[in-house]
Amino acid sequence: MKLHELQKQIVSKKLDKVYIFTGEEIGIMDIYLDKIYSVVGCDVVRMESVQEAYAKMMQRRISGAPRCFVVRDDKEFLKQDKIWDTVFSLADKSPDYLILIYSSIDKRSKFYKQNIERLTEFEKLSPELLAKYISKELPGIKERDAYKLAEICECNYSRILLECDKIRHYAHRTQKSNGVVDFGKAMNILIEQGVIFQPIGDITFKFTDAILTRDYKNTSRYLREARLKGESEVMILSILYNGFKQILMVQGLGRDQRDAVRRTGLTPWQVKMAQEKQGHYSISELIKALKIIRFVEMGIKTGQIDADVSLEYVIVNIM
Amino acid sequence: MVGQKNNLEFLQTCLDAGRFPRFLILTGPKGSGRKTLAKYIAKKCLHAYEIYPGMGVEAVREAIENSYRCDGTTVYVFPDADKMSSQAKNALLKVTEEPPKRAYFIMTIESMNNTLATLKSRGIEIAMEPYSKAELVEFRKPNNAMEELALNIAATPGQYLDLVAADAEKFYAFCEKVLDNIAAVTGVNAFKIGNYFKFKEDDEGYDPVLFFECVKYICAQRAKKSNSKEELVCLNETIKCTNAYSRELMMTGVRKDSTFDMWILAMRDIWKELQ
Repeated sequence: MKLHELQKQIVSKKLDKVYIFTGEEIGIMDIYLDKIYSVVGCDVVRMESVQEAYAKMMQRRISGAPRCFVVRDDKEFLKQDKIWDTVFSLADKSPDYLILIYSSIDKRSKFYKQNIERLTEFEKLSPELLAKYISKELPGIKERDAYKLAEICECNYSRILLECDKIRHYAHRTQKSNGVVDFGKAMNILIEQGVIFQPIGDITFKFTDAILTRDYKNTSRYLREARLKGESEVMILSILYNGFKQILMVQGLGRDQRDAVRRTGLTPWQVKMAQEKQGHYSISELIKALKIIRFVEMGIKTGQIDADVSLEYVIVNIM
Repeated sequence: MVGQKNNLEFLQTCLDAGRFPRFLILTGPKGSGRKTLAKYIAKKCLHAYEIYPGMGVEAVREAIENSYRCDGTTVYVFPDADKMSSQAKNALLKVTEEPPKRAYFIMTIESMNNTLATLKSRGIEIAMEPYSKAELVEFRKPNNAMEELALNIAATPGQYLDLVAADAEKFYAFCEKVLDNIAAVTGVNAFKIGNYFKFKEDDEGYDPVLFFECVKYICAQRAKKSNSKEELVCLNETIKCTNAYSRELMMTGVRKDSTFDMWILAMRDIWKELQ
């Protein structure tokens, strides 16, 4: 079931008896759940498993008032294909409602394929849509800043609401005497201060490229970020070794680098990358770099070099 | 069972004294007969059942659980345990410290560096002894010139069989060509030599350990005939250096291709002088 179909059902107050919700966007899912609960207007009963909910549905109550059973992540039920129809047909006939919530469901699974009509996926919203939501939460924020916030929050609606709260609070505390509130400025200050955490992207290749191209300026910054991200030293050293070796092979061809793929035995992509980065080190420096990386790699493996200082050692000795 | 005289004597002494080690670590290169020795210990020394539980942590835990319930004497063998995960190795700590009454544990690895220090201290290491030519002949008598050459190059029964399977004469010619040209070719071509070898499970090519063994043999043969002092120095250095890198190849976690690259660079340094 598409999200807009669910919206229509809620607006028209003609709800199905069984819903299956899945997806990462829990914030939006919770909003829909609240709407459903308010439309249904009955007791919400949270159960551990579908089996328990089934047993409860079978029991008739004296009051006869409907209930809404909510079951989260009952993985066992996903495997019990023989009872799906029994459970769902009982719920369809019963006055009660059944809502199954799964954080993820394999799209290739039988459960997904067989129950796709009842299933609603709460995927992450697009940055465009989220930027509109942000503009509503923080009136007057520039579109560019709203997009930036959506991207920083990795399009996670719940997190956006949380960060909007922080921005609102900070902006009101620091508002000018004329009462003008600048949400964009407040957001940028909070990002700078680290109050709004900006996720570190793919830093490994930026870091190794900085070393391979002797980019002194960025190397230490990327090193710090790689450490913050907890990248494996051995993996970085391995990538660095391959990078230096490829540069050595390409640079070793001299000025005439025609037919480099055949002559080096590297792939066209590796040759292209090496050609872009060559020239920052001499051949003897490249060989020295290979020896140093290998020495450090061996040192880590044999326990002679502490992995925590290995990258610094490599940078100091190579660059 | 061929060779391993001293190891067998040691095991017999332990048996006679009634103090047979409950946890043995057999170390040696691939094809050195570690599994054969493990079987020998189980069958001939302990007259026990052999069980090969597998490498996964679950399999190891299951084996440990079963070891407390076994009726007869049982030997649990973990062959090629270099690849065993740290979790699985950690799972073995307790049971190897205080093994159940009728259980014995044997682990085979290439190098002692490939296991946890805590596990090393709980076991008795048995390093596989080198095989003499006579012992290798006892293992398999050569039938032709190619097999004779394989016998001369090989250091272990496994290598002997591998060389026969790979056609020792062809392999010898390849190794000779590499050694002759390693300093003469350009750096790019020198590094391309690595493309002929099998460094990862899914690679295709020659076994680098076997290559190093063949290089050592070629150098030893040339040293016998050489009259040049400089050449003798280079040959001696090559053997020493190849030996060192051969040991490094056995260490898990160390990239085999980079070990080989370092060998190439070292060889170019050694032989450049003579060029």
